[in-house]
Amino acid sequence: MAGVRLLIVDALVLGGVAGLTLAVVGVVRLRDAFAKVHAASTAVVLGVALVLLAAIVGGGNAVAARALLVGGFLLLTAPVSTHALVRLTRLDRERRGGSKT
Amino acid sequence: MHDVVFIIAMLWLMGLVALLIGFAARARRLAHQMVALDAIALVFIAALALVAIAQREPGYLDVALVLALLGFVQTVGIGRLVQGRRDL
Repeated sequence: MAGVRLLIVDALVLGGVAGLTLAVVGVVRLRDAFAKVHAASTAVVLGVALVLLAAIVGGGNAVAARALLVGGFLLLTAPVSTHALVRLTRLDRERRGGSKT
Repeated sequence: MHDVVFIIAMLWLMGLVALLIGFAARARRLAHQMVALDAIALVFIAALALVAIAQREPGYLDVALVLALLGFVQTVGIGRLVQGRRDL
């Protein structure tokens, strides 16, 4: 039983790292500025949330409670900071005369 | 979590941080740098959660909570700060 739980934690951690990798590659490689923000905004749900889920499953009571707290806070604030980033990108583009990238 | 998975995931996350720092250093626009900084904070939160799982020590997640708060305040605050300026 403990072995199965260990394997579940492993899978969640690796999935979270894969999701973070996707987000980071998107931020670094995508050309369009809005596409960059879009890729970055997936990092919370696709990456960090899975790792925190692993902490809830495999970390014991105290770790699980704090992981829940951190995850809730991130899920609440991620849309707001993404909105701020999008507005910054739009301001940047307007001041450059509507050019791409 | 097995030790091998912990080590691989940790090294991988640090590689991601290096990639993002390189991107932020090369980027000319403030908007791109802010996106990279936001992502760096998220990667560090994931790394702290990994350490908390491996050592079964909840204190690391307190640090992660503060880092999440700071990342949020940083992104929103700088977005507000440059709103009225012409040179981004």
